[in-house]
Order: sequence, then C-alpha cells, then structure tokens
Amino acid sequence: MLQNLLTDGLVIGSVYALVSVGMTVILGVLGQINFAHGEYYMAGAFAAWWAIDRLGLSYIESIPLAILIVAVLSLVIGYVVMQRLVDVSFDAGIIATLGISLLLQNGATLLFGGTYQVFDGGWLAPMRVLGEDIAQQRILIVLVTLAVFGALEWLVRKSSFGKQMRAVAQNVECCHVLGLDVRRVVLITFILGTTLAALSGVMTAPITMNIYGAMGEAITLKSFAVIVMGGMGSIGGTLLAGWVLGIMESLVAAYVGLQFRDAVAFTLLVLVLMWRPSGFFNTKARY
Amino acid sequence: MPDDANVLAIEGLRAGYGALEILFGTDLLVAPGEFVALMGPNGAGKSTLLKTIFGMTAVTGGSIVWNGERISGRKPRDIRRRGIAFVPQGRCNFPLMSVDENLDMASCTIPGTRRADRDFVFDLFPILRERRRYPAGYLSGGEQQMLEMGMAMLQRPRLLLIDEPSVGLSPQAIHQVFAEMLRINAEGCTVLLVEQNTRKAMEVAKRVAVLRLGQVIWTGPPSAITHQQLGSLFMTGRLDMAPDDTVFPTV
Ligand SMILES: Nc1ncnc2c1ncn2[C@@H]1O[C@H](COP(=O)(O)OP(=O)(O)OP(=O)(O)O)[C@@H](O)[C@H]1O
Ligand SMILES: [Mg+2]
Repeated sequence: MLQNLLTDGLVIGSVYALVSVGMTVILGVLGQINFAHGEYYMAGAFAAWWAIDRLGLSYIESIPLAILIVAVLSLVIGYVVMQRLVDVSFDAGIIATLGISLLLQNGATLLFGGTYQVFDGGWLAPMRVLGEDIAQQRILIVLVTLAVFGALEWLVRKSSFGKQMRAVAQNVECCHVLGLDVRRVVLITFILGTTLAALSGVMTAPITMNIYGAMGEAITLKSFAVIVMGGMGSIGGTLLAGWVLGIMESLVAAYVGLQFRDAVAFTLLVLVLMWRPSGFFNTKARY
Repeated sequence: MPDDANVLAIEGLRAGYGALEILFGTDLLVAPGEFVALMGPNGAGKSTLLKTIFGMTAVTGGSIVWNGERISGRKPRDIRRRGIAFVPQGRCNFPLMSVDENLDMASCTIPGTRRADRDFVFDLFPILRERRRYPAGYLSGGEQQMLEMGMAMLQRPRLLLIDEPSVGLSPQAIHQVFAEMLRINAEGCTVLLVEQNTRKAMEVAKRVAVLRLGQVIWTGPPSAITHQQLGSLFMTGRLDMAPDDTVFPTV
C-alpha cells in the first residue's frame, strides 16, 4: 500500500516537475512568473487529442505534432508579448501572462467546446516493476522526466545557448553591453519552457483521461508552488520539489482524504514562504 | 580612407530616459586616436552620454556619427559590431559565472574570436589567469574592473567608452587599468573616458571635455586649465579666473 502510494506520488510528482521546470527556465531568463503556464500544458493535451481524434493519428505520432503546435503558438505569443517583458515591472508581467491565460483557456473552449473530452491514447497496459503492476505510461513519464532534467542540466551548464540563458538571468544590462541578442534568448527559452509544459500535458493526458479548457489553472498554481519550494530558478530543486509535492499529495489523499489533495500544494507554499522563503533546497543552485 | 574614418561626431544630441531628457543639445567631436576625458559634476549626464553613444538610451534629437555612419538609433549589438566597446560605470559582469565563462560571453558575439584571444587578455591582466575558474562575483573590485576591461579588449575596439574605471580601486589597480588605456590608445584606439579622479584623468588625457547639465561647456587640452578653474566650471559653468589664450569655450 505505502509503496503503491509512493510510486503514484513519484509519477504525479514527475508530471509536476516536468511542467514546472518550464516555468523555472522562463522565470530564470525573464524574471517573470508565467501565469499562463498551465495553459500550454492544456494546449499540448488538446493538440494531441485533436491529432488522435480528428486526424486519426496514433498517440506516438500525436506527441511531436502537439509539441510543434504549441511551439508555433508560443513563438507567436513570445514574439508579440513575452519578449517585451524583459525590462518591465513584475506586475506588468503578471497582468500580461494572466491575460494570455484567459485568451488560451477561452480559445480552447471556443474551439473544442466547454465539456470534457476523453483522451484516447497512451500505453496503459501494466508492467511488473519491483513486484508492482504499473501502467507503462506511468513508467514512461518518470523516465522522460529524468531524461529531460538530465538534458536541461547539460544545456544550461555546458552548451553555448545555456551560457547565454544564464547570462540573461544574471545581468541583462551586461548582455546589452556585450551585444548578446537578449530577445532571441528570451524567445527561445520561452518556447523551450512552454513545450516542456506541453510535453507534460501530452504525457499525462492518457492517465487523467479527461481534458478540458480550464485544466491548466490548477497546474499553473501548483507549478508556482513547486518553483517556490525548489528555490525559484534552480533546475535540480524543481525536480525534488515536484516529487515532494507529488508524494505528499498521494499520501494526503490516502490518509487524510481525497478532498484535501489539492490543498497540499498551497499549504506547502504557505509553509515554505513562512519558514524558508528561499526554497527547500540549495539556494545557490539558481542559475 | 575618407576623412571621417574613425571620427566620432556628436551634434545637438538630445537623449534621456523615457520622457526625461538628460542631454540637451550635446556637441562633441572626437578625432581618431584621441584620448578624451569627459568630466563634470555628479548628474551632469556623463554616463548617459556614453550609454547614448552605445545605443542604450532613447535619442530624441541630434545625431551621433561614427566612422562616417550615423549610429544614433541603432542597437548596442550593431554599434558594438562597428568597433565600439563600452565598459559601464559600476559592476558589469556575470557574477555567478567563472572568469572564463565571462570571457566566453564577451567573445561569442564577435565572429572569429579564438582561444588565443583569451590568452591576450590574460597577458594584459595576469591575475585573471590565476582566477579563471572563480565566479566573477568572488573577485575583488579591482579584479572585476580588469575582467570587464578585458571583456571589452577581446573585441579589439577602435573606440573605447569607459565610465569611471577607478572607483573603489587601489592605486596599484588604478595604475594597471590606466596603463592599459594608454597602451590601446598608443595602438590607435580612440578612448573616451569618464573620470571623477580629475588629477588622474588630466594626466593621461590629451583633451578634456566638461559636461554640465547635459551640455559640453568647455573643451581643451589639460594644460589649458587648472584644477581650480575646472572646479569652478563644474560648479558655476564659468571659468572664473582669466583663462590663457589656448582655452576656447564651445558654447
Ligand atoms: N536609468 C535611469 N532612468 C532615469 N533617470 C536616470 C537613469 N540613469 C540616470 N538618470 C538620471 O540622469 C541624470 C544624469 O545621470 P548620469 O548617470 O548620466 O550622471 P553622471 O554625470 O554620470 O553622474 P555621476 O558622476 O554621478 O556618475 C541624473 O539626474 C540621473 O538621476
Ligand atoms: Mg556616471
């Protein structure tokens, strides 16, 4: 039973980590919280659903297509809105991203209707791991998350683009002085962050099965809680915080009551802000 | 070569921050290879002038011409590609990145920079070679100033804009930084230096320009002005004592 809960928590935690790390990288370079973040998660799930349900593609084919669609969407939004947020105040960023959130939510409702859609895809056959039956899709989520975090660490630490991301995060003015193309770095990072949310949405939809226009709302708020716990900008911290949240939720749902599940993120958020506002983990890890 | 090669000509420049104008019709002509010290009281707009030349403020009037080409209104990136380097006032580096990575950032936007160029910076400031794996934020103020200057030197500029490089530095570090400015100037790079340390500035510069309330009110060789006269220019905008014949006011 406990092992079951822990694996469950790890899977859900991986979903949170994957979507949140997109918010982390965007926060890093832009210094803004993307309050529309969950909407890209929703858009990823809907794009895959549309590809499967309307175009008749298989799940595996729908994944790259959904990511491509969200990439194009965020290219447009990034170009029109997000690039301008580099040197504006924090509250302007909140208003702008909240506005985008409304647009995307209502856009999805307009396009696909206000009711739930059933997501029909994924690999739900069980697999035996450590004496437990787990749906393949769940194992895949954990593996993909680990791979993505490994790749992100490499990207940020070692690659030339990653150095530019850190440079923009640390000193925008100095980037201008050195002639770095700050807007390009912001745009690419934004697309990276939103496609990670989309990937998370596509990977999770087979498990949650129901998708709807407002499904991203809770994800945005939970991502916010995760990145605060993770130390606002630390990639490794985001992974650990995602897992902590997932496992706590699954324990609370089982031992306290299912209705308290969604309160866990906010309780943790409040506790962290009260006692350790720099996050659970190494505060110096921020890039 | 055309006559205006490597000439910096600023005419009637008006610029500032948003609706706030700081420069009100600034004129300054800098000849190729010159070493000009720009001086003036706090808030006169010296830093604003350098930032404006480098495309970092909003220009509302007048023009900046470099090398025969109008650069006002261009982005810092484009201006840097035209051989102008800027070392701003205060700290300008990436504090959590190593010295090596900082130099990487400085060279990644200039095509054709190689590792050898980094050794060139390390030869100028040997202390940086010892500190190459340190995060820039852990360096002393003087070491950071040298790093920032090294980052500018990597691009082999033809015009160096440098803002108060001596602030907070030990005499030894000041000496190194000024020696480097004199060296590149001797190699033909034009230098426009903003400096509060008037004594030091008048020692190295071939010409002094005084900025007050957003306008250049006096310019001439350091030998043409005494420290008292400079002080009175800063405060009242006038040379109270009778200047000798070589002094020519521009306004
Ligand atoms: N980013 C900014 N936004 C708005 N106003 C600014 C900004 N930077 C400077 N100012 C204003 O512009 C005026 C000129 O500032 P500037 O930094 O150019 O002066 P300075 O001559 O370099 O002075 P100092 O010797 O103290 O460095 C000041 O009144 C300052 O308050
Ligand atoms: Mg200044």
